[in-house]
Amino acid sequence: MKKFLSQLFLFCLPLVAVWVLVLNVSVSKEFSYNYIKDECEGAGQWLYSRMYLQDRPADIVFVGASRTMRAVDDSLLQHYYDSSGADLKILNAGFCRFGRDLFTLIAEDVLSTQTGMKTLVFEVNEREGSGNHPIYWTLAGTKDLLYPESFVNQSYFSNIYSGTLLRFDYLRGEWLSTQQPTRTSGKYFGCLHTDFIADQKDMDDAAAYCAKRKHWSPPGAWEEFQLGYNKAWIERLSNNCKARNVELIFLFLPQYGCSDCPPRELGFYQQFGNVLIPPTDILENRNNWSDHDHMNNSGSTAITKWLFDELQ
Amino acid sequence: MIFNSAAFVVFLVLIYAVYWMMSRKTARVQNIVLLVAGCWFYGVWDVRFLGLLIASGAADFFIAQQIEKSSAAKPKRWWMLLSLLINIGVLVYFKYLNFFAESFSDLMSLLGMQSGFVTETLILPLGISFYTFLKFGYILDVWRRQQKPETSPVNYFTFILFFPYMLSGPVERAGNMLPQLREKRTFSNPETSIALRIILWGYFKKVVIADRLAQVVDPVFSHSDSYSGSALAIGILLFHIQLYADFSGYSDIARGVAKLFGINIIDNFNRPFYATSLRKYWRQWHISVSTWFNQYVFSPLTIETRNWGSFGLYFSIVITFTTIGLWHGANWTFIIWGFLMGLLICGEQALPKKSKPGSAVSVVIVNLLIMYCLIWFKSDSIERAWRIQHTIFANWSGGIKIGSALSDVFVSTQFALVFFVALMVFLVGDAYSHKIIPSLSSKPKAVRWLGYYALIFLIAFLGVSMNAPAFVYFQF
Repeated sequence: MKKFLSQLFLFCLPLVAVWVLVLNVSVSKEFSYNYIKDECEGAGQWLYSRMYLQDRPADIVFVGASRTMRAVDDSLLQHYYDSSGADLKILNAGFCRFGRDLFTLIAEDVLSTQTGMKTLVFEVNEREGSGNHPIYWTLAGTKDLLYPESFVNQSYFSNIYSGTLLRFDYLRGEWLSTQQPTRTSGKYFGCLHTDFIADQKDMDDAAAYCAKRKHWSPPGAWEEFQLGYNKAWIERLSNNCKARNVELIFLFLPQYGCSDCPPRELGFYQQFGNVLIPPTDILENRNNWSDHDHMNNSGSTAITKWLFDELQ
Repeated sequence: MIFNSAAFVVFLVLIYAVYWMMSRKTARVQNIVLLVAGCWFYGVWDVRFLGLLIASGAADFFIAQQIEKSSAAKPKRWWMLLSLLINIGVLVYFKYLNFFAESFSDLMSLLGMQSGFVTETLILPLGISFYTFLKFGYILDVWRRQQKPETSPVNYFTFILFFPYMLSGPVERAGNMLPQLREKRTFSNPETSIALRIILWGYFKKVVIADRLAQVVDPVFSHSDSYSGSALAIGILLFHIQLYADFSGYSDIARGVAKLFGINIIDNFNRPFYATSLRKYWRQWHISVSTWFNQYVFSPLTIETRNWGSFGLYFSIVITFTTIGLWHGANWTFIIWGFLMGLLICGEQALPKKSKPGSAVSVVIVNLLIMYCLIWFKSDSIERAWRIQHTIFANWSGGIKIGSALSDVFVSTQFALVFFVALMVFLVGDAYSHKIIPSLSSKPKAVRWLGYYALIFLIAFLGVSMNAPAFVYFQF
């Protein structure tokens, strides 16, 4: 058996070397954003087009999860700014599901592409999560995958595995010329619209859940340790914003029923920028929600109007 | 946990390490490791159905003992029938109940009546068709006195819960497995090397050939009404290759993995593309299941109908193949596929020997007939199958051409060329793999390793992908 194991070890050495080389391949942004074209109603592909292909740099950019995508009507906000005579371009660069790591990477791409940008508005919720975004590895560079803070992340190894597969796909595309060029989208705004009004039972359940106040229970030692992962991403984002002279603002977007208290990590966020907390009369109006997590058009109109006043 | 997933690779490495660390212990300890691995492997999918498998397995274990204890033929028969009732009952409940109820309702509504049956959504336990036949085959062997009942529950449950074959076969026989499980396995360097070669070849077939072809075949069949007859005909040809690469790839991985643990299981395929008759094809395709049906369905039927002359033989063939069709899935298309296959074999049987063509022509004819039957196998409804064959025979050029489906997958000439090379490696390699794999040991190490690296390269650059599809036969 020893002989077999030593042979196997020798056989695997070149494979490991190739794997290390592949993991170090730098994947193009176009490929990465196109890789997630089937996620989030094609938001990845659109974001690439909006950031890299359209000649319309944004001044105020919103980054966050689907709550941002639903709550911030960037075309309406643009209309408000245009009407006020301010020459500012607005972009909602939200992407579905939660994960501080992916949103920081999107925000960094925004910062590097939107020259002259003034403000980055970053979504925060009832409390900071400890997990990572399920498709973080699609945008993560090699260093990001191996990032020391990532050891706290429970998906560390699966992210490396998925990141390697992505790089195989990328190399295949490069060598076998299988990549299709991205078409420039004519769409400037990223808000998702719906007139649907939330189901009563869904809202009652959400309100009952929030009433238990579990969202604000202070983190235990283990959770505090895990929170180090997401907090490190926010610190990194803050440093990036400072380096580019961009103002970082946090926008509190809770689920329905959890609006009576500020975010649990309010003090932490305030170290890096202002935290905007929408008025409770908007958040508590059931007609403003399409489900307990997302605003509908009525809600996004109200939030956007309020945001315009706040950002002035 | 499917074979082409990272989770399975981690699982396999772990179990393999533990298993051989126990190599100084007894066969019983080795079997316990395999048994725990089997429970884990199945339980991660759905632990409730692991309970079902263990419960029905325990019933068969008990029944086999009772058959052995009974001295008279009648009680033996009753015990066997009880096992039949349990095994087929569970299979029918989960797999066929809705199908039978819907078919009965359709029949009633044709007659202007209402059946009153209400169907309910049931989860089909993974591998149920395979493990049901494995367990019931054991009972039949005990009943026919071809197999002594296993007295050790550990050996018996290791036999039914052996993870390499529990989800998609091969449908192993107690006569092959139990004697191996009773003996302690010792590590063999050459056998392990052969096992790894078989696994590598299996992965190549699955992820490089089958999964790529599926990307062409699936859109063609899911939008079959838009495609031309020529596109559908080529689609069927590609599906013919895909199905074989997929299932034989799975079987190779299963066989190689079993061999890693020092256990030899049946080789489920023997170059079926090169069969010169349909009967030979069925002796070379899905061998474990065709042997099972031959032994437990066809042979008893021919004995029962021996006084009917040729008609008895034809009747037995058609019934056997229709049952094989039904075994594949609860859909009329599978039943028609089996029935057609049975009719064609009867036709072949009836053909005078002198009128049979040469072997090359025979191979082509056999493959064409198989491909025709696959229209029914691949279609999700009788209407769709009917429309596909109508388009193939009546509308050869109208509609989307196959080039469109091919260019959606093989978007560049380079990609198409590399895949073509891989396809040739598959077709030629498969024809000789039974000779090549064992004989590689005598080749210089540099040659062997280069071959392995070449296959790994093809797997990595043509096969590796985030959304690896499951094996086709998992649905059965």
